[in-house]
Amino acid sequence: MSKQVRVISRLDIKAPNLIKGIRLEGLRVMGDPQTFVCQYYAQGIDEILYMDVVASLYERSSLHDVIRHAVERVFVPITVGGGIRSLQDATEILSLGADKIAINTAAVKQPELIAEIARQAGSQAVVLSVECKREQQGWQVYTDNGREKTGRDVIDWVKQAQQLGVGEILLTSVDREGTRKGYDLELLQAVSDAVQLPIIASGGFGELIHASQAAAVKNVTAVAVADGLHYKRFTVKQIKQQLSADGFAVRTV
Amino acid sequence: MMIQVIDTKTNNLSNVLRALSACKLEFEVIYTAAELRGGSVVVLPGVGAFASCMTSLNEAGFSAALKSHLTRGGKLLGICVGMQAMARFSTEFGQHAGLGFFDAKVEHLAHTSNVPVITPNVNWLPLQSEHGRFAEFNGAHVYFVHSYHMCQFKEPALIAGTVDYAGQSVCAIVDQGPVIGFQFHPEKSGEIGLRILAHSIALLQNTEPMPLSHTA
Repeated sequence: MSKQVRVISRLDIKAPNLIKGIRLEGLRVMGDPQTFVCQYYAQGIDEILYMDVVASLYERSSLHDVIRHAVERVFVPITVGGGIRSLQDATEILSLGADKIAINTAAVKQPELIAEIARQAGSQAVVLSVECKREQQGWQVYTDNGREKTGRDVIDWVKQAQQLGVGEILLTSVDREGTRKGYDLELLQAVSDAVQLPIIASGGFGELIHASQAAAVKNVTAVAVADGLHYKRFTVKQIKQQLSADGFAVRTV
Repeated sequence: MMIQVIDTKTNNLSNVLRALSACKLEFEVIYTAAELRGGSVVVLPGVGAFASCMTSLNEAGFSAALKSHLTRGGKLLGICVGMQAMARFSTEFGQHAGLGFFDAKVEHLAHTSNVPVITPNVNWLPLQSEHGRFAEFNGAHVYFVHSYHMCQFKEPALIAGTVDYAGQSVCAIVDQGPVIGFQFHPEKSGEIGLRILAHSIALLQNTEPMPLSHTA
């Protein structure tokens, strides 16, 4: 049986709005995330990923409202990332009805937080979000939406995180984010070779074929699409049709 | 017939409640075995680890009470770890006893496969349920997120649906009349998931109770 691939809608949130930027900078307000999410749900989206790109304590309750509204209408898995700094932050997000939390900055600063959340909520609820920038050799881990260097090598980091119990890896190429040039396939391949975890490819989707290119990498089980859907350049159905035409199994509704 | 949802202190409780509401079903949430009402349809949601689910069931008195509930005409629907809890035991983080409603055990997906398996299995997979009471959902994609699965059934006929994952046939639905279990999450499986949830509740409400001598 051919590999099953999910299509995930990534919504970058500056609560209460959906925003979109290029290389995680230069934010543009798109509108009410709920409107977008309900359309994608009707089109057969497989999963929703909210990334709080500001993650200030000030607008935290506004993000919570975004999740609360979504879970009332959208009966597919929801992942929330951005600003999760403690077990309590994670528990709070999950109790609102999110299925998974994505964690980046806090995990880098405090890797044992991964194990702590995994013990409490299960590995399946913990997605390691890795923001990667190309170096001369390999890729470096960044935090704070690609602004802060960590000095850590992506491959070393994902191996360590696997040991600590993450359930999935959201692998974002900061270089490709918002460029529509396609996912960083070498990055996906390198991480796929390093860990036995499902990978969500993120950053760079611009053409339908990009989804299939990413899906062809062994451990990539999902592709995240942001502005390709937000600007209505493609529908969920078109992306799935392409994946299906290229030999991948997709969920049909 | 009343629907009672057990609060197993896991995170999918609120999602299961919202899904029941979306199916226009009324329910109450219960916390201890003393709240069980004769003949009710009990929903047992669960995510996370098997042992913590069993601990929470044991502490609230449900482990013993559910068995007698079933003998007195009650029904049970288990979801994900809530289904796994109905096996004899699980090998997740040591060996832990389950409720024993199914003569089966719960094993890691990689331990029952000859080929490497990516876990957790986080996937929408198409149901294979040609026979039995879920035949109308044959081919429907439903959402899975798990690393352990129910297997080695003494009575394989109780498996009402499977999915293929990495070349392995994985139990997705168990059905023995008054007791139904889903390994997938109907509450997160879109509109078809809501229909499967509503269907299973309707089945339980119309199923004759079965003497528990029939179970493990």
